[in-house]
Amino acid sequence: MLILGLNIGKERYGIEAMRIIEIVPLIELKKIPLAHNAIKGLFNYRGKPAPVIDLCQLFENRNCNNNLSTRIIIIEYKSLSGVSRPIGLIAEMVTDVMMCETDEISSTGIQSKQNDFLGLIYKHNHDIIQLIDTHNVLPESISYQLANQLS
Amino acid sequence: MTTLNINDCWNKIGVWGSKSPRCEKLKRLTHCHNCEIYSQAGSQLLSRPAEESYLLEWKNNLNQPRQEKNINLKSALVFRMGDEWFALASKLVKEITHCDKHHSLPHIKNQVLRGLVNVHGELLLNVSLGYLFKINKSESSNKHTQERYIIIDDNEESFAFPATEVRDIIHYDMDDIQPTPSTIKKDTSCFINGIIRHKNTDVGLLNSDLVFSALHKNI
Repeated sequence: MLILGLNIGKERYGIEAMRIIEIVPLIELKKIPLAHNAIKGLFNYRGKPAPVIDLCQLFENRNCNNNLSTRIIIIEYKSLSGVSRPIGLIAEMVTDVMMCETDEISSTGIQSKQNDFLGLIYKHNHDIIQLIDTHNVLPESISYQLANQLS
Repeated sequence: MTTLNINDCWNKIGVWGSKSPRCEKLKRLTHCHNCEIYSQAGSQLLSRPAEESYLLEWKNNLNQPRQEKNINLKSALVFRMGDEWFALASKLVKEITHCDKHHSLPHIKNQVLRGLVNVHGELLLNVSLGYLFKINKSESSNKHTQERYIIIDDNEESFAFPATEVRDIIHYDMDDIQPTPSTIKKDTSCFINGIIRHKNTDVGLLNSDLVFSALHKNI
């Protein structure tokens, strides 16, 4: 399968390409007051409001840098209310894709409730790349806020 | 704007340069595009802040509904033989590789079958489409173009044939195909379905069934 590579700080992660709708630059967002820290705001995605979540804020409690290689990865997200909608994930160094065989993916062997979205690991040129499961990456505090926005 | 410290070796000893000695890695990588120094320099360019006008343009773009893509497009590989441009359905192309030594076969007086080439340890029939189409060798030699082998496969047999230059892959609609002008030599035009205009060049779209059956017949 095809995997999009991205960085959160110095760590390399990957997202399965099949789950991605589009990748766009980090455009200016409409700020939402009093929302979760990681919810950076909304933008008009093809006529629909799409919330954008900063993965750096989520993983490392800081904003992503504003380089050209920092981009919004738009995915289809099934919110708690059961409705699918596009959301954006901001990550750094979104610059390349790589192929990987399914048998190169294995479990991290370290599981906790907070990081169970990082179930898989993949070795590519000796670097370890952690696969992010986009369905489960958002903590409940955020997915709850996203579900409410729709109603 | 921050200045970047980039050593553009590709402009000096690489494919865009003329200094000697040539870069050692070129033998292995064929083109600077395949070199990690080139891609590292490229990603350095992305480690700069984005310009506001660029972001604004994207923001306005994303406001608009997505333009429906024509899903009936077909794709074809564009290459040159002699002075003529051709296109062949991409799904038949297995690989494009640089020219290694080719081995001629003794006692064979067949102009289409030139011999064998070794591609990743597999011996493939080396055929001359140029001879099949009765095309003369190019007179205008260009140092920047490099001859490549194109490897095609019709699920029965793989063939390798040399092309003077490989340009890119085009996507075309059936409406883009124009009839073949009657001025084209008959030997060539019988293999062509029509003409596609691409970047100010007329490209002959090859009828792959005819090409393969002619190849099978001639070997």
